[in-house]
Amino acid sequence: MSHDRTGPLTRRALVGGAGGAAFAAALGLPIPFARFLPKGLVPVALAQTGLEGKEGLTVLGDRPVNAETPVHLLDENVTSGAHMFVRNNGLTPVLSDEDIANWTLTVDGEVETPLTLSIDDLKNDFDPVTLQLQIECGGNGRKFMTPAARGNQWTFGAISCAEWTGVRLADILTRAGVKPAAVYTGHYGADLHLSGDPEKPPLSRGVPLAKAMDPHTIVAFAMNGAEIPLLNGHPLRVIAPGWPGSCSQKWLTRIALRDREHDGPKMTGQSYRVPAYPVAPGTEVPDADMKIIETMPVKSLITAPQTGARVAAGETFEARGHAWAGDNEIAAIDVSIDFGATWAPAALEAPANRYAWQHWRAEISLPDHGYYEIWARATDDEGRAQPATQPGWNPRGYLNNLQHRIAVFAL
Amino acid sequence: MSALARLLTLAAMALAVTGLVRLFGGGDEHGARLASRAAQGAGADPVLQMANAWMGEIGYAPSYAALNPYAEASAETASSAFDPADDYWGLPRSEGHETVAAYCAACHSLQIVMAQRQSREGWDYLLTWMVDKQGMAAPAPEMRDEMLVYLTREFGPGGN
Repeated sequence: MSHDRTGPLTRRALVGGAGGAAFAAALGLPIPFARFLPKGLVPVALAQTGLEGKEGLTVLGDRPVNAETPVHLLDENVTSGAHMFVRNNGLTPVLSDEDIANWTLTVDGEVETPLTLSIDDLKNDFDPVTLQLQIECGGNGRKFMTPAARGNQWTFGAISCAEWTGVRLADILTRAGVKPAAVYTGHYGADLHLSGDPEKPPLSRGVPLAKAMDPHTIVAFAMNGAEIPLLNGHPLRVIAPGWPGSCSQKWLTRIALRDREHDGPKMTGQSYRVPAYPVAPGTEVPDADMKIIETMPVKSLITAPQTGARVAAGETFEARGHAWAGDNEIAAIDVSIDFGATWAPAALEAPANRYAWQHWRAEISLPDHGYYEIWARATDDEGRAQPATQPGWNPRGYLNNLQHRIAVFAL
Repeated sequence: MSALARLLTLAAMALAVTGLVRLFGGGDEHGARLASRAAQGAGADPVLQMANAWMGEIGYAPSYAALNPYAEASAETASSAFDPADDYWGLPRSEGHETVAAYCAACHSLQIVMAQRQSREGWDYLLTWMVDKQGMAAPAPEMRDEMLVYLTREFGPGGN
C-alpha cells in the first residue's frame, strides 16, 4: 500500500524549480518532511480537472482532498458515488488489487477473542444488511459562522444519503465477545498523516458502546450495490449514521474496544467538540469545557429547483428536497416564499429506514413578478426546528443547521 | 438595447426555458407560456433584468454565498484566489509569503489557508497546534512572527 503525497487524483506537472518544495529549498527554508515531497512536482489545476469519479463537486482543497456537493446535485433520493462529498484529514491510500484482496479488519481491545476478518469473512460469516444511511460532516455549514471558524469552509454540501451494504458492527463485536469494561470504540484506517509520518494516524475516532451496538451502525463493503468509491473509503468503512462523518472511519483496518473514552487524533482538544454551555460568539473556550458531538442536528435542503431558477408568476411548480435530524426523525417541514414571514407545510415522506434522510415536496406558486427566495425549515420529532441564522456559535464552527434558501425569479 | 444584445438575451432566455421545460417534465404549457412572456418582456421587464444581472449570491447577507452552487469557497476573496499553477499558489505578495508557503505547503494545500479568516490569536493557536500536534517543524521566533503578521494582514477577520 502506498500513499499519494499530493492527493491521489491530482494531475501533476513539472514546473522546473518554480513551485513548492523546490522554491522553498532555493530559499534555504526548512521543509518539514521534505523527504516525502517529490521535488519539483506540484499539483496543478485540480479545479479544472476535477476529481476522478466525482461530478460537479466544489473542491475545497487537494491535499488533503476535500470537496462538497452543490446542493442541486443532491436532488437524487439516494446519493450516487459521483455526488457524494469527500472529506479527508490525511492522504488517501493508493490501493493495489493485492491490498484489497488481502484486506483485513482487526477487532481487539476489550474483547474476549480478538478477531482478524477478511472481507470474505464479513460477507460469508455474518448477516448482510442494506440500509440508506445519512452521513454529514460535523463542519457542514461552517462557512456561515460569524466570527469565522477555522477549518474547511463547507457550505451546505457535506451531506449524503447512500444505500450501504455491510454487516452490523454489533454482530462483529458480539462475535468477539464484549468485555464488561468496554465503553467506547476506537477506529483506525489506512490513510496517512499529511506530514508523512507513518506512526501518526491522521484521524482515529470512535463512538460510545451503545452507538456501536445500534443495529444501524455497520461496517460497510458496498455502496449503492457496487464498490465504495475509493475517496469514500473503499474497500471497507464504518457507517455510524447521524453522527459527525468522522465517526465513520474510511479504509477501515481496526476497531479497538476501549475501557475509556477514545483518545485518538481528533477525539480530544477542540476537534469535533462544542462548548458544554452556550458561549458568546468569538469566545475562547478551554479544552476542559468542550464536549464531544454525538447526534447531528435537524436540517434540510432545497435540491430543486436550482437556485436562480426562473419560473412563471402565478404558475405552480414543484420545490423539493430532503431533511434529516441525526438520531431523530423529521416531524414536519415548512416552506416560506416571503423571507420567513409566513410558512406553509410541505409534503413529507417517511424515511426508507431509520437514519435515512426524508424527502419533501411542495407545490409553489409565486403571486406576482419579482425576486423571491424559497426557504425551508425542518422540525424534528422533539419539536426542534432549524434557525434562520447561525445556531449557537462554537469555536470550530460545527453543527450549523441554519435554514437553506434559494433564489427564484418570477417572470 | 442594440439588436444584437436583444438577440442574445432572447437566446439566453430560450436556453433557460429549455431547462425549465426539462425540469418540469417537458412540453407542457407552463414552459411555453414562460417562454412567450419572457420573449415579450425581453429588454423591458425589470424582473428579467434582475435575473440576468443576478450574480448568484444574496447581496444583503455576504456570508451567505451558497446561493451560487458553484461559488468559490471564499468567493469574497477573489483578489487573493488560490492558484495551483502559481509559484506561491496565489498567495498575496507581501512580506512573509515565502515563509508561509514553505511551512504550510510542506504538508497541505494553501487553499485551506486562504479560505480562513482568523485574528492573530487564531493564527497563533493554529501554528501552535501544527507544531504540537501535526508534526510541523517549529519556526524560529522571528519567522513565526513574520508568518503571524502576514496571515493576520492578508487573512484576518475583516476579510478582503
